[in-house]
Formats: sequence, structure tokens, C-alpha cells
Amino acid sequence: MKREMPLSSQQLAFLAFLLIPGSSLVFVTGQTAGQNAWLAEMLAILPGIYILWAILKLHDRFPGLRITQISCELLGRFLGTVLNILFFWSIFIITVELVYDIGLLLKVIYPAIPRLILFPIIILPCMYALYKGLTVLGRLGELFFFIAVSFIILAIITAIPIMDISKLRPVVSEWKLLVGGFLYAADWPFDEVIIFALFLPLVSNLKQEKRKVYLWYLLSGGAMTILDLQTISILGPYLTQLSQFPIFEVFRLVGFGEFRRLELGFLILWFLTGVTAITIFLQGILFICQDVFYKKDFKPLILPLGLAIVVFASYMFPADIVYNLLGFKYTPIYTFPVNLLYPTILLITAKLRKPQSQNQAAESSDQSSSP
Amino acid sequence: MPSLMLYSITGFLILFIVLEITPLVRKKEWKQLIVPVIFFGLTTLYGIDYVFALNILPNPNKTLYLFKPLSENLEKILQISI
Repeated sequence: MKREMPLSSQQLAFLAFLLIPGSSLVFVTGQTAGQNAWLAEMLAILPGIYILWAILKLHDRFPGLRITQISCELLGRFLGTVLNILFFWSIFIITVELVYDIGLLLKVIYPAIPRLILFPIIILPCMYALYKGLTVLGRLGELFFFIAVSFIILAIITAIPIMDISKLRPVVSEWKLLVGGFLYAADWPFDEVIIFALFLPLVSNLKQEKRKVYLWYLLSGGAMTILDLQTISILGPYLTQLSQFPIFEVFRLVGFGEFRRLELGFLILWFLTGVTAITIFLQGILFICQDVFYKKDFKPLILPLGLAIVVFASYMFPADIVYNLLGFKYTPIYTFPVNLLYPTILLITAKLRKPQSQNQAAESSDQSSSP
Repeated sequence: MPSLMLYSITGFLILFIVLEITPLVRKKEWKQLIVPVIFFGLTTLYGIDYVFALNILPNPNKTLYLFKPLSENLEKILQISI
């Protein structure tokens, strides 16, 4: 009898689409590249594609297993668990920082509400969705996808009249800046697609419809590149770097005649995609904890881990200055190698192990055929 | 207003008791309770440490400060400022 899967490949593709704008929100992630930030971001899509390819390849080899389970299977219980803990810490930091980011953004609109109230407000709907099950996360993705696409198209169209292409010149003037922008944009948000390695065993029809996942990821990356290109062409590279929320600033400037303050409308886009991204990451953290602690069910962990994110968002980042230093400068040095090397190590180990297991199979068949 | 953290912890604790602890205790699944209770307890300790500014527990952000020299070297090599 065929097992019913909670997620369809279409839903996974939509979630991959929502993860990128949901994670980068109103930031130009490759802004260290100056006027070439859009180019850095376009190039940074490639490591994400590599990670998607690597996790799909691992899934082909070990169907029905999450990456954390594959890790223990390939490297043994001890080494596998060590890698899983490193991966857990990477995803946990990303989630805490994302909650802090959304809190920062909401503070602009609701300055009187303290962060300690905003953080639980952000995390509670995510926890509720997870209590309802993965099917709800999939449906949430389908529902938010159309809203997000409409808002992104509207955002691109409304910003066109105030664009000044001359601000994008000179293109590729300093390659070092471009490399810097590429590295930081590759870490955030593109290599965060690694999180889907925990969802793949729960997706139906994936083998036939892998292309959909790649396609929607590419479209999402393309949309973010266009939004960043527009932001730099409107604000210029210096203002983009100085501004706390560059894309948000752009939507303060756009409008039709007397119809202004569009940024409040676009907040729907950032909040919905942000909440979807947090839900995906929180579900990922739950899967990792379930595997590390060999638990039957992850549901009893939802509330403790939800609270952990609320508490650590305040405890780890007591002020914006600390957050800017840790979140934008030091975190990528840890998360980028971990998210990139984790599937790579497993893929290489799987490749090295394959001939070994083939040899063992050949040896055992020889022994059985000998008199 | 760090004291607001206490309200969050209390709210989460009530939900945790109602939604998780009570059903698991009724089913006598003690093993299933251990990890969530440890997680919740540890988080609560961190919350209390934050509210009363005790600074007794090690801050996990210290693990990120370990990457400071690497980050500074990368900035120097690529001549970027973040």
C-alpha cells in the first residue's frame, strides 16, 4: 500500500520560493558589493542550487531518511551526531536571527510595543501551524505563495518609474567587493535551502518533479535579484549600505500621485514570508532534536523550542549593535561552511562507501558461489 | 522591560503543562517527557538570568565571538566593510 505523504512536491517548491524572500526580508544581502550587490546576489543563487542538488542526490540514495539520519547511517552514531549538533546550532542561530529581524522590522511600525511582546507574537502562529501538522505547513505555503507572488510583481512594477540605472555603474569595477558580496549573499539567504534536506522524506512524487523545486527556487532568487537591483538603482550603493532596511526605504518613496505609504501594505509580504520561513526553520530544528535525542514524536518539543527562540533572541542579542555585529559579521563565518559542507561531506562519504559496499556484495556473492 | 519575559515564560509554561505534560503523564510516558522538560527548564533558567540580569549562565553568543578573527581577516583580504 502506498504511504500518504504530508507534503506534495508542488508544496515543497512553493515553500522553497517563500523561504528566500522570507529569510532576506527587507535587506540587500550582498550589499558589501556596493553597486554590484545585485550581481553578487545573482551569482549567490548557484551555491543554493548546488545544495539543492546535493540533498536531492542524497535523498535518491537514501530514500525515506532525513539528512540527520543519513549522517548517522554514513558516519556512525558518534560522528554523525557531532555533525548533526553543528547543523542544529547553525539552523538555531539562523532562526533566532530571523525572529530578531522581523522584530526589528515590526518595531518600525509599532515603536511602542516592546520586543519581548513582539517575539512571542511572531513565534506563536508558527508553533500553532506546527501543532496542526506538516499538511498545514504545505497548505500555508500554497496560500501564501500567491499572495507573495502578487506583492513581488506589484513591488517590481511600482518601483520601475523611480529607478536610475546610472547608479548601477560601473559594473564589476572591483572584483574583491563582488566576491565579498557573493560570499555573504550565498550564506544568507541562499544556502539556507539546506533545511529542506529534513523535509524530503515527507514529500510525494519528488523523483518525477525535482525540476519544480529548482524552478521555483530560481524564480525566487531572480525576484530577489531584481528587487535588489531596483533598490540600488533608487537609493544608490551608499544609501543602501547606510540604511537599516533598504527595500523598506524604497517602498516609502514609491506611490501613485497622492497614494503614498505603500510600505505598510508591503509589510504583509514580509510578515507572511517571514512567518513561513520561521515555521520551516522551527520544524527543521524539531526534526534535528527528534533525531539527536531518538524521540518518537517531535510535538512535545514544540513549546520548549518555541520558548527557547523567544528567550535566546533577547539573551543573545541584548541590543541592536550586538545583533549587527554578530548577525551580519560573525554568524556567516560559521553558518556558511556548515550549511555548505554538511551535505558535501555526506555526499562524498556516500560516494566512497558505494564501491566498498559493491565490493563487499561481490565478495559475498563469490563466497556463496564457491563450493 | 525585561520583566515581560516572565509573562512569556508563564504563558508558555501553562500551555506546556496543559498540552504536553498532562497527556504524557496520563499515558505514563515518562521517557517522552524527559527531553522537553529539560529543554523547558534550561530555557526558563536563561529567561530568569535575563530578567534579573544575573549573568550567571554562559551566553551562547560567545560561540559566535570565536569567529571574530576569521571575520576580520576576511574583511581585510576582500577590503569590505559590513
